Amino acid sequence: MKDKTNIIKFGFAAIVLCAVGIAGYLFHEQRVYREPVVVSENITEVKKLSDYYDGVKGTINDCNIYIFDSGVPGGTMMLMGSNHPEEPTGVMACNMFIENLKVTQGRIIVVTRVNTSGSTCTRPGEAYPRYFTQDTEWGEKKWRMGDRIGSPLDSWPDPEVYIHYPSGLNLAYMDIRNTNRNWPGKPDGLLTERTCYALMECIRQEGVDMTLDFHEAELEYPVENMIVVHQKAADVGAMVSMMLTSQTFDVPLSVDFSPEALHGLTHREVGDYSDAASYLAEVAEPMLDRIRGITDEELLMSGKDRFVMEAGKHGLLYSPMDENGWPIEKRVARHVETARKIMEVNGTVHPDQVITFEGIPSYQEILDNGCGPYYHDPSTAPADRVFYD
Amino acid sequence: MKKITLAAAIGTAALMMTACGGGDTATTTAAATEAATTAATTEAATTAAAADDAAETEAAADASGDASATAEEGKITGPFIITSCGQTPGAVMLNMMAQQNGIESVADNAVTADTFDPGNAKTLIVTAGTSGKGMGAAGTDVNAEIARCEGVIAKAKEAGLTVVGAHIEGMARRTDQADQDSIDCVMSNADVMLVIDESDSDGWFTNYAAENGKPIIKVKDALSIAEVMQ
Amino acid sequence: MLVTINFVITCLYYVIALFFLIAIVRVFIKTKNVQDAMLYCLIMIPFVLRLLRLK
Repeated sequence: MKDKTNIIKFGFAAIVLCAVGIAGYLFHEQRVYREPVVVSENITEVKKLSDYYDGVKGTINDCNIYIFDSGVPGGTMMLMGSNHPEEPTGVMACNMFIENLKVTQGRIIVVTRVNTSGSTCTRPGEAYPRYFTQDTEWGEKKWRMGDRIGSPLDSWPDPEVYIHYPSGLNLAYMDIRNTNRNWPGKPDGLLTERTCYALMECIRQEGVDMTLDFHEAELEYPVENMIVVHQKAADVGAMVSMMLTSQTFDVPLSVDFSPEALHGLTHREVGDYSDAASYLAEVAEPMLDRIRGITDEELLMSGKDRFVMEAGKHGLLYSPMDENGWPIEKRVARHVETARKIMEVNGTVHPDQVITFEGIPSYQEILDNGCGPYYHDPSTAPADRVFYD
Repeated sequence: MKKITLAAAIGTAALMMTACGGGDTATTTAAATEAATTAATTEAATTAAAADDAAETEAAADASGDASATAEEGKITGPFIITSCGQTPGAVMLNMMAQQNGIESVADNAVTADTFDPGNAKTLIVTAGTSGKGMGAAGTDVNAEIARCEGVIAKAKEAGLTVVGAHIEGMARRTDQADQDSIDCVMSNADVMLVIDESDSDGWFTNYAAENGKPIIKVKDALSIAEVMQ
Repeated sequence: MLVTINFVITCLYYVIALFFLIAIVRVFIKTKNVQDAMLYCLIMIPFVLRLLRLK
């Protein structure tokens, strides 16, 4: 009888151990996977974030800083992706720039993974896919699908209440790991605070004139298909909104001002703590909606969900939603075009900040061709042009 | 019963006149003045109200200077003073459009009745719709915004300015009660309404203009507003 | 300062997690009730994943 009990006990323990092994392997795989990116042959330099502030050296958030310098005097634009890693169009848009860009006047700096830590795990209880892939002519390009905030493996424990530095604003405890609640950062703070401080140092030391932070939002959220601009970018933001709404986008791109009392976000703090004018772009991502159906890579990439669509029929959404959904190429195309238009309009308002570039597909080209043709095969690219995020 | 019948008869008669294109331009639908290049549509007010209402509307239009004239031409005349009832970027957008057209213009979302200085302005434009972010940034709310704008509008009317009520940021500024309160305030005090097609996608502004006897200028989108500024 | 406090708390957390894992393994070995044994097995999962810094 005792032997039988032990057989059952240890047999079950063996099954559990297998389950732990499989789960552990999957968690570890996502944790250590690095995304190859084939940089454009016109790139000037790839730095590390720790080159600007060594407080992040050796941490997972010591990301790559891709710099494209034309050598011709002009403005400097910084593009930021994956501030919230569960909003994947940011990293896709940034990769599109990095792999194809040729700057002919001014400089463009790209930070693909602002919150690398957050991209190494998914949100507990949400059943997110661990990766998402884009079909290309050479195979699948694969990225990590992350959480909104950094991994607790890199920053733990969270305080009971997160008190933002330096404003003193009280925020939810987990926002201590949210890179878009920690700007302008704190040099001796926790990892996310130090990451934002290092990025601010990058902005200040490189003399960045404007920053654009790519985001996505659920359709139930009012800040949707919008650019949020710092007050010093109000005129350019207004013009960009009108031009893109009138001439390019089928769904309007509205504009709003950054609230002065809400701290920690790029559109507020980058503008306040540097010379740069800060912009944040939002586009609809149905997978983030609470009322969505099956949560998988298909939903993430197609942006089609019948439950969200049904909510739209009842007027419960802040963005149109029909059977065509919000496919990834449309979301990426909006971000890429918004970046282009900001640089274009800013150059007319501030003639000393002109940035011109080539190689980046237009909104219509991305819609027509998809994103695939604009990513390159790392296995056939020269080794010195392949970097990992 | 007789009164109801009489009212119905007057209403029907007014509708028939409207349908036939008859009646005074200030009280019935004017021919939609669609400028070929501007895509701007000007509709004088449609109203099926009784004669008394019509007289009031006409009187109001006269009192507001050249409001009906500008509406009939499908144009609004600068120099402009622009503010937003709800701290949205609408005022900045209109200001950009005016300046790109070489028209003198100033956008001030903080102007009050006390600080309002008409200068040489001919038109006050008040954009409707609210921004939670904007109002939060300015430390205000929709009720304070309405009070501020009503004061400014009263001062502008005293100074003989035409008051244009604008809604140019689309359905994104028609999502909640705060938006509606702002719209109600601005449009009820406006001499002329200026809206983009997306804002009026459900016909709300067209119907409002018709019911309240207000001239309405409709344009395709915010970028097209430049074409109705002069 | 906060970084140091967090580091100390994290170390203590792992020590506590290890303590509980050992305790659970101990009662798992001792128990003669199969149902309890299965329950202890399931409870062990998060402790193992945490100690190995996998989740």
